[in-house]
Amino acid sequence: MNCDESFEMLYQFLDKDMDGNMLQQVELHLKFCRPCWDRFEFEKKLKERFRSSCHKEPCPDGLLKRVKDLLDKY
Amino acid sequence: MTNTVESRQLFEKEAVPHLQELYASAMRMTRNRESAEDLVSEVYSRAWKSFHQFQPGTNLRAWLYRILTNTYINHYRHKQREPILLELDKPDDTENGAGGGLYDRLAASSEDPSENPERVLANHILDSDLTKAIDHLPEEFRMVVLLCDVQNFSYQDIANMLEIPIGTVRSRLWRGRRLLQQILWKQAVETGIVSSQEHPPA
Repeated sequence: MNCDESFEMLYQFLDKDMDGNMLQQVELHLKFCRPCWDRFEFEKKLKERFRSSCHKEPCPDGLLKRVKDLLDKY
Repeated sequence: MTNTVESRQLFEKEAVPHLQELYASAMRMTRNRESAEDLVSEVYSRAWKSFHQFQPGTNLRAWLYRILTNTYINHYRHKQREPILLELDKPDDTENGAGGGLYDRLAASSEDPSENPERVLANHILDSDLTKAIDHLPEEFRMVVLLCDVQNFSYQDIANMLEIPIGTVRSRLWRGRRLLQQILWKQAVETGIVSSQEHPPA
């Protein structure tokens, strides 16, 4: 696997959407290719930041009560 | 069939704890606090009314998200303003190859070699920059990015929720993430985190 081929697999690799054989091939390439490894690490961190930044959205006071009141009504 | 005291207890134990993350997703879908609260309330109302149809042992979280995406698409989407379209690069520049992503642009713009892309991301790109970038993403891409990156669903789960083929999930994710990176780059230039001048290694 070369750099372009590994890049094509970038997101499926990060999202764990690939079979074991392909996974091994990408891992093998990353083991020996520092530039690709750096790039994959960056993409992985970016994905994690998107996740954490969205989860920090504070839930408004009162929403839990509003939901529980709805449950009482039905 | 109506819900019983037992099912109320089960619903409170299993479904209500997802309130915070459902609200966080609803907030990125509607991009508006009031609509997000209304949407989440409606999701819980619908979920509770059809809770007797829920099959124990199957994925309750995925079931709630399915209700969330359906309710949003069918009842809220038309009320939302589409994000102001930023002037983005032509699709051809971003579809293929590694070049043109945020990583390459950050690497090329750095004057200081210790300021590598990973450090810029960690030290200069704020949480609010990231959520703002998601809010600027056109909806068809925003939904898949939210469900995958933020809520960690598999491509198959996302395909089921949005009723689209799995290949469409993959292609929208690819394009959506590239667009997100373009938006982040433009924001970083605008706020002066980076210079748009490239500094190729000497």
